[in-house]
Amino acid sequence: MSATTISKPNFKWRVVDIAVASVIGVASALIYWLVSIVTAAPWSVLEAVVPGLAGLFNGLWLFAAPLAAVIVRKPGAAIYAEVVGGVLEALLGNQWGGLDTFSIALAQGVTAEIAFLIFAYRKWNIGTMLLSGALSGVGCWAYSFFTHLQAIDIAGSYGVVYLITTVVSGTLVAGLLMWFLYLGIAKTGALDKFASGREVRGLN
Amino acid sequence: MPESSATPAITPFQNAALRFEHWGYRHASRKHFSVRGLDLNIEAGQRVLLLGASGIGKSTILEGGAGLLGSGEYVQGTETADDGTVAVVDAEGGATEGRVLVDDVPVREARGRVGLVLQDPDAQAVFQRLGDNVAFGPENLNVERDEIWKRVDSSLAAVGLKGLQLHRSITHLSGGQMQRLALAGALAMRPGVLLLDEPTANLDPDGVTQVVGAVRDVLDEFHSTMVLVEHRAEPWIDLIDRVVVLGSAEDDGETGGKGGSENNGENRGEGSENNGENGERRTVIVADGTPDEVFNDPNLDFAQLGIWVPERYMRDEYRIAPIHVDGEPDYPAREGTGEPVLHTHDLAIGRNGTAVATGIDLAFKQGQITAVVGANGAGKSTLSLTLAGLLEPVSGDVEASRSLAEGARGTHPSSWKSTELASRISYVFQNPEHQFVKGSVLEEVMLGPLRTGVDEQQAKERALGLLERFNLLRYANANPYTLSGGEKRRLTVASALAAAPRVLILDEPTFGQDRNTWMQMVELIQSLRSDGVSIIVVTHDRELVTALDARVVELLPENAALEWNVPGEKTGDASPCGDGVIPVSQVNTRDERERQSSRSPFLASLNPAYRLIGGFLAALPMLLSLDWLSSGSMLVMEFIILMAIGIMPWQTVKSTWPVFIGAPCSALAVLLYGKSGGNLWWQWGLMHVTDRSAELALATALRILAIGIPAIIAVLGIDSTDLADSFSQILHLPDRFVYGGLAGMRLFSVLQDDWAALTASRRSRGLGDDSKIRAFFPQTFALLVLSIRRSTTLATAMEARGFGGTGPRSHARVSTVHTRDKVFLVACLALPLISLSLALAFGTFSFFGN
Repeated sequence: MSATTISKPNFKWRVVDIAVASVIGVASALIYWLVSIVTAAPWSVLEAVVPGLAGLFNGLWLFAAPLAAVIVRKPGAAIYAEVVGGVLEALLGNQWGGLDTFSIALAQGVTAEIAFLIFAYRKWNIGTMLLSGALSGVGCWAYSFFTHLQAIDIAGSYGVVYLITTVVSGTLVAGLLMWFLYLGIAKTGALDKFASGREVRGLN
Repeated sequence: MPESSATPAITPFQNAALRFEHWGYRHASRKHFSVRGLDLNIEAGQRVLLLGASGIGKSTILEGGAGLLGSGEYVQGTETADDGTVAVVDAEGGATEGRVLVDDVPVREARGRVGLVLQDPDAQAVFQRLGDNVAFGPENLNVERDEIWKRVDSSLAAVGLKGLQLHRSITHLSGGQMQRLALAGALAMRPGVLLLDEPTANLDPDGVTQVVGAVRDVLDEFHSTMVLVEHRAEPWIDLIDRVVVLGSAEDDGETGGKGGSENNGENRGEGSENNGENGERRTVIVADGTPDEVFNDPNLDFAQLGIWVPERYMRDEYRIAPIHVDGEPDYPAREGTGEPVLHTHDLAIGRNGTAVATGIDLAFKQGQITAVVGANGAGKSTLSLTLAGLLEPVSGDVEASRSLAEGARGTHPSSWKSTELASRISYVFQNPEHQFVKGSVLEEVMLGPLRTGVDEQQAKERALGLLERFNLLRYANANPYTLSGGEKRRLTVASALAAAPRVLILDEPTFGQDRNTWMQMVELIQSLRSDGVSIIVVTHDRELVTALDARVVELLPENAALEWNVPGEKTGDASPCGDGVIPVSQVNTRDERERQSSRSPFLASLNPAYRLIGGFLAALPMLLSLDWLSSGSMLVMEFIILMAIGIMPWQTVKSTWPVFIGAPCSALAVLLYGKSGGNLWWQWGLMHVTDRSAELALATALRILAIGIPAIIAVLGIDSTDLADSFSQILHLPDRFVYGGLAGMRLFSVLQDDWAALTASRRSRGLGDDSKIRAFFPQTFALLVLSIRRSTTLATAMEARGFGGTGPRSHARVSTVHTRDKVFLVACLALPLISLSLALAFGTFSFFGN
C-alpha cells in the first residue's frame, strides 16, 4: 500500500474538537468547584504556617488548559477550556464570585496557551506541557495581585513565596500530571478521533 | 441575521434514492477497513432492514450514508491499494474508497437530504428545551425562522409529541419520548432518506412500541426512504419491504457471515484492536430480498450470522428455550435451593429519601435467578442498588442471612464496609465503563480478590482461571477500555465474580447485543448457578428471562397494565421467593411552567449578554481603588438596588454565600501580610498586623463582596441556551463555538449522574474504603474518559443535524435588545463611579491599594 499523505497540522476546529474541549472544561469545572470547597479550610492553615504556601493548591485550578491543548491541539484550546471551566465553576458558586473566576481563568488560559504558541503548535511533549503548567501558574499569581491580593506587596516575601509555590504547583499538577493523564486517556482509545490519541496508541 | 439570504425550503419530503458505489471506509484507529467494496442501491421510498453481526460495519454504513465520514474539507492525501483502488485520507486519519450518492449527488454535497437517528437517546439532545432540539437541524440548513417553527410543530405532531410544551425540559422525558424527539429532529430537516441506527435498542417494550408507531406514521405520510439497523427486528417487520443481510468475505474470495462478531465498532467509534486476525475483508451482501424471501431462505444460517429472526419467521432451531449448561444444579433456576441468602422486610425504596415503592418483601436463594422487570423509570435500578447495599433503604430492611453476613459489620449490606460488600454482594453496572479501575484486563480481575485479602499469587490464579472461562485470556494485558462491547461486559462480570460474591446483581446484561454475544452471556449467567450464586438480573429482555428460566418480579407503576403476566396477585400475597408484582408510584408527568431566569422580574427581562456585561461593568472599576469607603458604599447601594428590583437582602446573601466565606479568608492574608504602616498591633515571624494592614484587610473583604455580589446576581439563573443565542446574535461570536460549547455544557448534568454511578461502582468493588484523596484521582480519570466518549458521540449527532458546516445558519430564537438593556448598562457603570467619587471626595481613594 503506497501512501502520499501530506502531514501538516490542521488548525481548523472540527465539531468534535469543540465538543471535547468543552467537555474537558465542563468536567474541570466540577473538579475546580469541589477543590474550592475542600481546600477552603486547609488554605488558611497553610497560610498561617508560611505566608504564600497555600499557593501549592493553585495547580488544582490550572489543569484544564494544558490538558485540552494537548488533546485537541488547536490554537486557543487552552484558553477555551480554562474559560469554560472557570465560568461554569463560577455559576456553581465559589468563594471568589463570577467576575474574578472568569478573569483569572482567562489570564491562566492565555499564559498556558503561550507555551504552545511559541512552538507554533508543533511541539506536544512533556517539555511544552511543563512549560504550559508553569506559565499558567505565573498568570494565576499575577492576576491574584491585580485583584484580591492588591493590598499585599507583590515583590515582598509573600509575593515571592506565593509565586514559587504557585508555579511549582502549576508545573507539577497542570503540566506533569496532565501529561500522564493524557497518556492514560489516550490508551483507553477514547481519543482515537484525534491525532493526539492515535500517536499514543501507535496508530498513525 | 442574514435571513434574506436563507435558501428556499427544499421541496418537502421528496424521497430520495441512496446508492453506495464500491464504497469503503477505514476508521483512523484501525488497520483494516470496517466496510469495503460495498455496492448497494436503495430505491426512493424503499424501507430496508439492514442485518448482520456486530462488527460487520452497519453503523459505519449508516454514518457514511449520512455523509458524516471522510469529510471532504479536510483531505490530507490519498493512498493507493494494491488493486489500484484509490482511498481519500481525511484529517481524522480515516480513509474513504468509492462514493455514496443521494439521487446522484455526492452525499456530502446534499446536506439535509439524509436524516440519521442514533441508538442512545441521551447522546442526541443538544438543548435543554424540547422545541429547540427539533429546530436545530433547520437552523443549520439556514431555513427561515417562521418556516422552522412550522416544521417543529409538524415534526413533533408526526412523532406523536404534539401535546408537549416546546419549553419543556428534556430531563423528564422517557427514553421512548427522547427517541421520538430525535426522530422529530431528523424530520424537521425534511430528509429524503431516514437512517435509523438501532433506535429502539435502549428502550423498554413501551418505548419500542412508541418509536415504531412514530416511524410508521412518518413513512405512511411522507413515503420517505428508510434504512433501519436493528438486532431485534420483530416489532418493525410490518414496515419493511426489503431485507439486506451483510456478511464479509476474506480476500481469498471465501464468502461467509463471519464478520468479527466480537468487534463491535458500532456507533462508538471504538472497538477491539485485538481481533486483527480477521485480516483484510470485503463487505458482501449475503442475502437481499423481501422479508419473506430472506427469512424463509433455508440456506441461511441466522444463528451463525448472529441475527435474531423475527417471531413470525421463527424456525424451531432458532427459538429461545430455557438454556442448559453442563454441570448445572438439578433444581430449577426460578426456585433456587436452601435458605434465602438475602431478604427484604417491609422495604421502601427511593432516591433522596422519597419512597417510590413500599412494603417490599422478597427473598433470594442460592442458585436462584431472579429477573427484576418493569418499564423504564419504574425503579428497577433503585431496587437493585438498594439490594446491593449501594443505596440506603428509605425504610424497612435489606437483611443478609447469617452465613452471608458472617464476619461483616451487622446484617444490613448498606452498613457494610466496601471490602465486606465486595466479597458478598457484587453489582455489575449497565455501562461497563462505570466500573473499570485498572490499566489492564488481568489487574482488573485481580482487584476484587486483592481487596478482600487474597494473596497476590492466588488472586492471579483465580483471575487467569476466570479470564479463560470467559474467553478473555488473550486480552490479559490489554487496556479494558479497548475491548469491544460484548467483551467489556464479560470482563465486568468476571471482575465481579473474582471476589467470590454469594449474590450477583446484573443491570441489563444483554442490552443491544447480537444473537451470538447474547448467547454467550446467557450461558455464562446460567453457569454461575453451579457455584451456588444467587443471581438477580435487571432487564426488559423477554428472551433472557425465558432462556434463564428466571423467577420474575415486576415493578408496576400505578394505573399501568401488567406487561409480564406474572402469576400471583399484587403485593404481599405472593410468596417472597416466588414471582411477584411490586406496585410503584407513578412517574411524575405534571406540566412544567416556563422557568424564570432571575428572582427579579426586571433582571429576567434583560438580554443575557447585557446582564453578563452589566455584572462586569459594575465590578471592574472597583479594582481601581482599595479603600473601605468606595467598597462599603458600593455594597450598601447594591443591597438597596437589589431590594428595589425584587431581591431581598437575605436572598442575596443566600445566593452568594460562598463569597461571604472567601472575603474573610483573603482579608486575613492581607491583615497578616499586607502592606504595613502606622502603629504595629502585633508581630510574629513574618506576620505584621498594623494600622494600614488592618484598614486594607477591611477594604479587601468589603470589596470582594462588592465585586462578587453584582457579578453573581446579574448572571444567576440565566438560561444557557438564551445566553448562547445572545452570544451568537448580539455579540456575534462564531456559532460553531457557541453551540458546540453549549452542547458540551448540557453534559454537565449527565456527568453528575456518572459521578454518582462511579462512586457506587467503586464501593461495590471494594474500593470505597479508601481515603477521599486516594479515591479522587482514579475516579476523576474515569469521569474524563466517559465525558470524552459522550462528547464524541454528541459531535456525531450534531453533525448529523447538519451542524459544523461553513454556510450561513439561521436562528430559530430571537435574542432581542431593548432600551432597558442599555439603561441597565449605564446604571451598572454609574454605581462604581459614584462610589469611587465618594472615595476621592473624602480622601480615602487608594489607587490599586497603594
